[in-house]
Amino acid sequence: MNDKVLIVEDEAVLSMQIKYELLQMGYSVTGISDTGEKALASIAIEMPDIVLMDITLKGKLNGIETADLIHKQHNIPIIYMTAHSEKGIIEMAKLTSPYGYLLKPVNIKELQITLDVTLYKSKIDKEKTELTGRLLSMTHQQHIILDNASIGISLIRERKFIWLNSKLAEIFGFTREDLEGQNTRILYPSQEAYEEFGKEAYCKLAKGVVCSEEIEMVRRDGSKLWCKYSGKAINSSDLSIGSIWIIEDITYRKQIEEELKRKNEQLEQINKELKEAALKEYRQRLEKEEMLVQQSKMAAMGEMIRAIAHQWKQPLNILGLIVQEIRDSYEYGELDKTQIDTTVNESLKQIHFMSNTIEDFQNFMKPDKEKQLFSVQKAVGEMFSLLSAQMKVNNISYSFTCHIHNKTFPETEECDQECEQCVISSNKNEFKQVILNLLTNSKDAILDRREKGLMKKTDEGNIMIDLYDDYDKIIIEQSDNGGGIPQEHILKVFDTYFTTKGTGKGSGIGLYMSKVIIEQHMGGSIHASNGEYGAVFTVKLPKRYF
Amino acid sequence: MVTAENVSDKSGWKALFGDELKKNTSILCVEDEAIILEGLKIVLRRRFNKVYTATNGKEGIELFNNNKIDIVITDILMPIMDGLEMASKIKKSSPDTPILILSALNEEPFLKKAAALGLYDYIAKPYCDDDFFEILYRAAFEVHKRKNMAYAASAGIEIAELL
Ligand SMILES: Nc1ncnc2c1ncn2[C@@H]1O[C@H](COP(=O)(O)OP(=O)(O)O)[C@@H](O)[C@H]1O
Ligand SMILES: [Mg+2]
Repeated sequence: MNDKVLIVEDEAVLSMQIKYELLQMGYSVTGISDTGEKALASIAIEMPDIVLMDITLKGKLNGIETADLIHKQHNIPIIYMTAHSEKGIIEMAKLTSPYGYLLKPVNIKELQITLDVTLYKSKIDKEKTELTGRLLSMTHQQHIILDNASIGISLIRERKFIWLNSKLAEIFGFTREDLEGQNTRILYPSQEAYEEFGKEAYCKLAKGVVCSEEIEMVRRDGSKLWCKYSGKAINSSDLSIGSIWIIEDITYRKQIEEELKRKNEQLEQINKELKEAALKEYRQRLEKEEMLVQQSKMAAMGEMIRAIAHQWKQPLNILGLIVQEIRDSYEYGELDKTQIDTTVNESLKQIHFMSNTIEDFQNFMKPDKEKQLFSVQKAVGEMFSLLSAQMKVNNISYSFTCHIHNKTFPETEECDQECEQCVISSNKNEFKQVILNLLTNSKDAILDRREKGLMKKTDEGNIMIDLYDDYDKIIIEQSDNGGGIPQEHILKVFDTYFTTKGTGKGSGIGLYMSKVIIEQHMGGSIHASNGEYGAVFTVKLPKRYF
Repeated sequence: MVTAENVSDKSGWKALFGDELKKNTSILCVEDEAIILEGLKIVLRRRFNKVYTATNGKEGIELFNNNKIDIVITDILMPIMDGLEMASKIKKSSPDTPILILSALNEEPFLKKAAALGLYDYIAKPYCDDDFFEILYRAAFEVHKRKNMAYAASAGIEIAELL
């Protein structure tokens, strides 16, 4: 495309000549105007790439004025053609920033060069303008972005806001104008805080690292807020250039954090309290358990002492009579060697019996924490013989049948060889305590039944223990003719302190302790039911429970 | 020879009580343990005129009803009929007869029952010691005193004279 030229010249011959030359040079001409007004009108119709402007024109506007108007409205390069070379006019013309001057008479060669140069310059200028425009709009966009960012951004130099975005001002309840040029001190709660932060921050900035800090600041209205500051020097070796700071309002986050912390503390406290409570309860339970063990031991001891009283009644009486008779015989002059011998033998027999009883009792009361291997059959037999006198005096017969060996006691003497089948490993005395509890309960049930007249005084009481072998278990079944347990009590008999016996008689822990021993210490089970004549207690023990 | 001097004199009855008196006293012993009953019989026979023995309350009542018995000694716990039941029966027919309870059972319920029956005394075992005999002799003495009073009353003699 040819570059278009507008010629503004009131001398028709000259303008025609120039037109001709221009066309020759390959330019196109948009028109020839002899006044400024016409020139402006022509430009409005067709935009030229360049204007050749005579300074002296016919109309009201001279060339300089016209150029000025064009210049204001359009970005079209203007070249003056003038006969004037006076300094004053040239100075005037300069103000309209023309691209060149051609002195009349116009030299064609000169015209061509000037046009070429002008067009080139104007192209460059246009590009420059465009670039500048683009740059400006980009900067503007960036400004918009920065300004509308949801975080505060600022350039700070010597602790003064050089530039800041709206968000930053908004965070603190100010406007940008309020803060621009202001010292940052107004955002700090105190002078100390301001100075302290400054020291720390500038130290980091000088090292070229990002200074990141969470601090408490104040808003314009004096209310406090938590901010996160992240700053970096533009050039760490020259802090006077300033530093860029990003500021976030983290009050909400802080609040949540605080709340979380508080909640955690509360939770911890609750946990602690719960733990303490659980521990306390555990201790109390242990103490209670310990107390129950003690009580059951005391009750067992009481039963044993009662048994001993019965066991000893006979030998004591016999010894008393024997001693009396020796004196009597002597008084009557009847005492001889034979009588002394029989007396001594009989006495020793009784003494042995008594000492055995007390030994059994001692063994029973001995705290044996260790597990040992023992025969269930033997343990039951020992308990029975300790209670024999008491049973007899209460008119209660007892039998103990070991179905494993097909033997019944007391008719058959205790079998001496410890049988393999009914050996278990456990605490023997604890087991004997269970048997003692069961036997005593049976005896009590029988006596109670007699007392209530449900059974004649002369009717014999019966307690039976049967021992069975069941693969990996030993079954001990204890039954009596004491009338049984009322159905509504059957689930409660193993409860602590459940007793139907009068005050001072029953403690209600015998069966509870028996259950603890059988189930927790021996790994077995104990079960209560009613048989034909009375209660039936079934104990199952795993063989060789280690 | 067993005399009153052989045993202790705690209540001054010794002077008033001679062998004759003892020899006139008959005793019933009720005890279910044969060996003890036998021993008691041997020891008591040396001191008293007549010693009857029974192994339960029922036998004891029969013997008491069919014989002239001054003092009863009984065990408490016995089969068929216990000592307390027997004692209450004897008390009904013969309220003045001293009944001595022998028992190893130093237990409240028995003591209370015995007291309720107005039983003469309660002897804790082992018996056959001096205390045992003292109680027995005193019972015998009182039986005789009562007999003599009854006799004196019928014969019109002042009690003071007798004593
Ligand atoms: N063989 C039995 N016959 C009837 N009732 C029984 C028998 N064994 C236990 N009981 C009942 O179970 C209750 C609890 O027994 P236990 O725990 O040994 O306590 P205690 O003997 O001190 O009462 C007894 O009071 C009684 O009512
Ligand atoms: Mg019990």
